[in-house]
Amino acid sequence: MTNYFLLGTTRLLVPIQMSISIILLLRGHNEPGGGFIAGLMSAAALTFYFLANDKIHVWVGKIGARKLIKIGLIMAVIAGLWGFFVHGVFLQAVWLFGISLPIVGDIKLGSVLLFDLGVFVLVIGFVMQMLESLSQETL
Amino acid sequence: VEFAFISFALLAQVIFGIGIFFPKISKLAWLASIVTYGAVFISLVLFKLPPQVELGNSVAFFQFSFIFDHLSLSFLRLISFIGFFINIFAHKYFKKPEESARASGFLTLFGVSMMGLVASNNLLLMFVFWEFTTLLSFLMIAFDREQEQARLSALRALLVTGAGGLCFLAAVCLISWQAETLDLAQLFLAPQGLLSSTYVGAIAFLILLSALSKSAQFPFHFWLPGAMSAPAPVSAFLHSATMVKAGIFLLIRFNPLLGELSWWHPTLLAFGLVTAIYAGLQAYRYQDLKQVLAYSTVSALGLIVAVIGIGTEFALRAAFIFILVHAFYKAGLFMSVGILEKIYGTRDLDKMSGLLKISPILGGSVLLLSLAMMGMPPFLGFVGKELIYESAFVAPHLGGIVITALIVINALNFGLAAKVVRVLFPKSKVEALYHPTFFLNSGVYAFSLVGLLLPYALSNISFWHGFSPALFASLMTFLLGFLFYYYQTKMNQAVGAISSKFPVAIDLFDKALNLIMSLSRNTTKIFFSRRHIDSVLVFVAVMALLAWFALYELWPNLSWKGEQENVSFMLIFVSLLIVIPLTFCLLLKDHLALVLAAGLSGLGVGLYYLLFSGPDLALTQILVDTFLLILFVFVTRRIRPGEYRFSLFEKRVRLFFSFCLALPAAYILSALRSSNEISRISTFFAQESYSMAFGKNVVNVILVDFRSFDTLGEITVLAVAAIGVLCLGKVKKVKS
Repeated sequence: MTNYFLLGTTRLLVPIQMSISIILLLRGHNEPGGGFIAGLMSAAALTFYFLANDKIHVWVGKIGARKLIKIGLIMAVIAGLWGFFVHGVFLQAVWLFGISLPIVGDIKLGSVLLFDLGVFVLVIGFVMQMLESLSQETL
Repeated sequence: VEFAFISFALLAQVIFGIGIFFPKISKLAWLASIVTYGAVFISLVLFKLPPQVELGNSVAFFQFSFIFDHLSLSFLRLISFIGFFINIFAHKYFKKPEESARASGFLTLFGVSMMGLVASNNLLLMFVFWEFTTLLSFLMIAFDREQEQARLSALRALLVTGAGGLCFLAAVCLISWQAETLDLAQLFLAPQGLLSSTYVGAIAFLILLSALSKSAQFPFHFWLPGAMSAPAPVSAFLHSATMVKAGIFLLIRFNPLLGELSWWHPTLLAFGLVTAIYAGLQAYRYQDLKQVLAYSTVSALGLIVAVIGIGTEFALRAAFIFILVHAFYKAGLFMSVGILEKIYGTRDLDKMSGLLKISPILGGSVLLLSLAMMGMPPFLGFVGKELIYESAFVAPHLGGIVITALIVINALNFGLAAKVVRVLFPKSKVEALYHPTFFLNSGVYAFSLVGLLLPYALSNISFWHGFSPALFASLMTFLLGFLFYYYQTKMNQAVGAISSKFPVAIDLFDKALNLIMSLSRNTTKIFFSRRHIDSVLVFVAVMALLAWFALYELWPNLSWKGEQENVSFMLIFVSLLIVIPLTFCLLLKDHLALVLAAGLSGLGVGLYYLLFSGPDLALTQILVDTFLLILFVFVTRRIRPGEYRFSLFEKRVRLFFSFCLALPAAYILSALRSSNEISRISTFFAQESYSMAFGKNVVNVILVDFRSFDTLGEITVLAVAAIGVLCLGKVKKVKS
C-alpha cells in the first residue's frame, strides 16, 4: 500500500533535508553541526524516504549499508594516518587551506574534515543497516 | 636497513590488502611480496651494514624504535631469506587463486610481524608483534576453515600461545614498573634497577613461561603437532623455521639480563632436555611424515633451549648456529612433505618409496636435507652439533649426565632423519600422481644447498677440531642413532607402554578448557537470563551499588549549598515535559503508546539542552530520539502481545532498584553542580579550541580533534554494533 501523501512529502522534504545535512557537516567546526549530527540528519531523510517507499533509497541501496560503514571507518583511519605521517602523531590534525563557500561560510580543508566525513558516512551506514535488518520480517 | 625494513612493512600491508580483497590479481600481489622479501634480504646481506653492536643504539621511526644488533640482524636475514622461498613455494602449492592469495597475504603479514618482533626496541612494540604472530599462526592453522580438526588445533594453539603472550605482557608491565623504562637498550645499559628489584624472579618466571609456550616446550608442546593441520608452506615457515623460534629469541634477548639469576640456566637446561628427549621418543611412534617432523621440531627446539641453558658465551653461539641449521633443513623438509603429499597422495611413510627414481633432483635435495639433519660431516648440521658438544665439554660444572642426554637427543634426531631417507629408495611399486615443477621445488633446492654451502660462507667456523672429545661424542651419536633406527619397533612398544600410564598433556588441557567453559557458562547464566529485560535489572542493580559506593566515597567532600537558581517559566515547562510522559510510561500498557511517551520525554531533554545553550547536544538528542522512535516502531511489531508483562512482585523489585539508583545519582549530580569543584576542563577546551584547533564549535572540536581517538573508538563500536544488528535480523528470520 502506498501512502500518496507521505510520498509527495518525501519528494519535497528529502532533498531539503539532505542539503541541510551537508551544510551542517561542512560548517560543523565553527557552528552547531558536525559529522555525527549531519549523518543523523541525512539518515533521518533516508529513513523518511524508506518509510514512504518501503525501500531503501537508490543511492544508498546501490552502495550498501555495510560498505558505507566500511568506507566511513577507512576514511577516519586514513585521516588518522595522515596526521601520523605529517606530524608523527596519530590523528593529529592536518590543515591544508581554507575556502569560503556561500551559505556555509569559511571552511578549512584537512584531515579533520575527512575524519568528520568518515563519521558522517558511517552513521548513515549504521542507521541504514538497522533499518534493513529490523524491517526484514515486517515488510 | 631501517628504510628497507619500513618500506617492506608498508608494502606488505598493501599486498595483504590486495591479496584479501582482489583474489584475481593474486599473481601481482605474490610477485610484489617476493620482490620486497628479496629487497630486504639483499639490503641486509649485500650492503653488509655494520651491526650496531652497542645495545644503546636504536633507530627511531616516528615513535617506534628498532634495534639492529647481531642478534636481530641475523634473525632478520634468516626470516627474509626463508620467507622469500616460502612465498614462491606457497604460490605454486595452492591450486585455487583465492587460497593462494590468502596464503600470500597471511605469510607476508606474518613475515613483517616476525621481523618487527626481532627488531623492536620497545618492549610494548615487541609484545604487539608477538601477538600478531600468535594471531596469524591461529589463522593459518585454521587455513582449511571447513575442517573441524583444523579449527580445533588452531584454537588450542591460540590459547596456549595466547596465554604465553599474556605472561609476556605481565612481564613487560612489571619491567616498566620496576625499571621505569620500556626501552630495551636502556634496560641493558642500566640493568641494576631491574636486577635489584624484588620482582625480578617473577619477571623471569613470566618470560620463561611465555617463551616456553611459544617455542612448544614440555608441558606446552602439544599445540605444535596439532598445528600440522596447516598447509605445508605455513608449517615450513611458521612452525619450524621462524615463529616457534620467537620464544627462543626472547630467551636469548633476555639472557644477558636474566642470566644473572642463579636458577635461570639450570631451569632452561632441565626443560630443554626433558622436552627434547620426550619429543624425540614420541616422534618414532608416528607414521605420518608431518607428525614425525613436528615432534622432531619440538625436540630440536628443546635442544636449543637446553644449549642456551648451558649458559656460556660459547654455548650461545652454538645455539645460534644450531638455530640456523635447524631452520634451513626443517623448512626444506616441511616443503618436501608438501610436495611428497602431492606426488604420493599420502603422508604415510610406509606408502612412500622410490623418490630418487621419480624425481632424482628432488630426491637428492631431500637426501641433502636429511644428511644435514643427521649432522653428517660436510654439512652445517655437523658443525652445529660439534659446537654444541664442545660447549658442553668446555662449560664448567656440567655433569656427564647432561652430555649423555645431548648425545641421546642428537642420536634420536639421527634415527628420525634415517626414517626420512628410507623414502628415497624403492620399497614397493608406487605410482607418482604428480610431477612437481621447478618453481615448486626451488625452495627445497635452495635450502639443501644452503645447508651444504653455508659453512664456507661463515668464515669463523671450521670442520676439523682435532681428536677432541666432541668428535668422539659425534661418533657415539652416529652409532646410537643407528641403533635407535634399527630397534625402533621395540623402542616404540616400550615408549608406548610407559606413556600410556601417564595422562596426555593434550587431554589435560582439553579437560581444563571444558572446566573453564562450563564455569563461565554457569556464571553467565546467573547474570543473563533468557529474557534480556532481566539482564537490564542486573545492570541497574550493579549501577545502584556503584552509585551508593560513590556517594559513600564522596560524602565528606559534598556539601549541599542550596544555591538559588533562577527558575524560569521555560524551565518548569521543560521539566514537566520530561516528567509527565515518563510517569505515563509507568502506567501505559500498549507498547506503541509507551514508546511515544518515552520519545516525548526525550524531546523534553533536548529542549533542556537548548535551554542551557548546548545546541549541538540538543540537535543530537532530538535526532537520536526520533530514530529510536522509528526503530522501536519496527521492533514493537515483532513483540507478541503479553510478552513483556511483569507480575506485581517483579514490578516492585524493579521500582525498588530504580530508586536505589536514582537517589544517590540525583544527590551527587545536584551537589556537584552547586559546588565550586566543577572540572576546569571545559574552560580549557573553550579557551584553546580556536587557537589550537581552529574551530569555534567546542563540541565538534572535542569530537574530531582533542578527543578524536575516542571518537574513532566509538565509531568502531558503532560498526561492530551494526554487525550485531545484522546477525539479529538474520536470527529472527531463520526462526520465523
